[in-house]
Amino acid sequence: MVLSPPRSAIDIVALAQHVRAAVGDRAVVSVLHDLVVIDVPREGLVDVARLVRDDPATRCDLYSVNAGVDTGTGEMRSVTFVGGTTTHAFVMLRTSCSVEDPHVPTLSGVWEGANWCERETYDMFGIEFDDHPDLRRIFLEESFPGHPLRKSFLPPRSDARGG
Amino acid sequence: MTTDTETLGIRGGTPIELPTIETDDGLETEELILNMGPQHPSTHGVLRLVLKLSGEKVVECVPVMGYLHRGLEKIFEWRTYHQGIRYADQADYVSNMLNEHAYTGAMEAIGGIEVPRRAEYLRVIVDELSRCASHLVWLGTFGLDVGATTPVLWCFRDREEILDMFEEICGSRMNFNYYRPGGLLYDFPPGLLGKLGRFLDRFEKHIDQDYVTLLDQNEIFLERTMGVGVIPPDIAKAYGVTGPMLRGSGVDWDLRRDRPYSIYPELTTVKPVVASEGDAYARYRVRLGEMRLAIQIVRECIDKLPGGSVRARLGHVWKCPPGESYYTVEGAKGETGVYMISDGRSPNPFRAKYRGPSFVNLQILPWLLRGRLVGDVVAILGSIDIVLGDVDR
Repeated sequence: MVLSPPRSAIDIVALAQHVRAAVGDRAVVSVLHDLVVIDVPREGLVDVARLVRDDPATRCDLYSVNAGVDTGTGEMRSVTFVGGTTTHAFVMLRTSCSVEDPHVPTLSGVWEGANWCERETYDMFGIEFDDHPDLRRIFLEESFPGHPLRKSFLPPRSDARGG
Repeated sequence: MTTDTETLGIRGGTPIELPTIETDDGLETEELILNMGPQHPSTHGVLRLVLKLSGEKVVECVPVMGYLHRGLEKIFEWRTYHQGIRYADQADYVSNMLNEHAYTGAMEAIGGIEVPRRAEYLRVIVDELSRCASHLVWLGTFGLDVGATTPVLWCFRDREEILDMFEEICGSRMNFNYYRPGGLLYDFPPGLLGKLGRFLDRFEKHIDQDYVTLLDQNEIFLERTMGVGVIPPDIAKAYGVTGPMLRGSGVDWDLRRDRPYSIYPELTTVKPVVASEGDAYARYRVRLGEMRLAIQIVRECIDKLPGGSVRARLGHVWKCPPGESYYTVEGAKGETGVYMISDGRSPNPFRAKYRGPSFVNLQILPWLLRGRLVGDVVAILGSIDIVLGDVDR
């Protein structure tokens, strides 16, 4: 039998310890499978992202993707995945905001690739990325009402909900 | 010519002004806006490019997407875990098995499900065949893009055989719905492995004789791809480019080895193909090399194939425990990943994010086209290898 969760090629616990010491009290660090998870308030997001990119132990130079999450309790999250091609460190940067004040800072100044991925999250969740160079909808038309991946958005019965 | 964005149809975009530019020979030219797509055959689907041209040079390129947006991630939230596998198929519809692997893998990572070894070997076989099927579509259509019309017929001959085998395996040629949490739907039918082995011998000969002769010795093909669309490695990494494009830029990064999943760590043949030039020709060489590599991997899997069941017993009603995971596989176009969150109560995923490699790879296109000749647009776009189902989801 083969166990499914991704296995880390490096000592993930030691890496998490190192990152925990480096970010100090700015963020909470934990481990999920082979990912170092950094929960950071939105004020410190860009600083921690720069640290993850430049620290020799992580050196996350490969931007992966941004995912929005609507928790359904008034909190929304912006989750960014990055990886280091030389260090084999995989990091998940998680920050949150409220539905009333859906603002998080953009990471497109840290990784160029964040541009379109954050536009998609804005399109689908209405999370606004402050200082983003080109924040407009990417898949849906500007006149589309609402943001479809929010939990409060119900698709038409015949469509996604399956009759 | 009108300048307002309504007419151009760039939704919410900033207005494009039309300044006059001095060209080298002192002639004044006006900038021209050229609309390419969404029904253009060389955009490989419904992608629309708004090109600002100054003479023969591209000043700016604004891709407009969303014509094929189906709300895949919303559908995941309204379907059960098992039903979602069939929808993951639709994302990148020329390499479906790899999407299913990412989706099923995310589920298994949350549930901590152990998969029988035979199932993992069969998974790797269908993954690699799926990768070949995808690269064959790319090779044929890229040939068409740069003016060689024969390769597409020859490539689809081999792809047809792969699809026929998939039909024998799971009853479908396109939306396979073959993966299950904890294994696969069926074992291979009797006699298929022998057929597969004979196909691999033929296919290997076709790569080394037919495709290389048709394209590598074709003056026009070399002229149109060598030195065209060069991506330096650090730019590629910053834009999040993955897969054959990243390896074509000289970055030795392959998730099969660098974020190992399934039984790839046990295989000795997994040696990523890397080319350092970073141009369209390097990407062609990487993809051709990956097809040869896939043949080696499938042969090794056939040799080592263990016996036993292909599906773990999960009980009649499997309930996904609460948790989250980000599972990636090395797809045909790059990192295919699924970020899944389960709340432990509902029969549906709470959230499933599908990372389409085509979407992230396409992002580098405006950077690549800036200042290039308009004749290179089709060759550069073709060398990225996009599938619009994967871009728009």
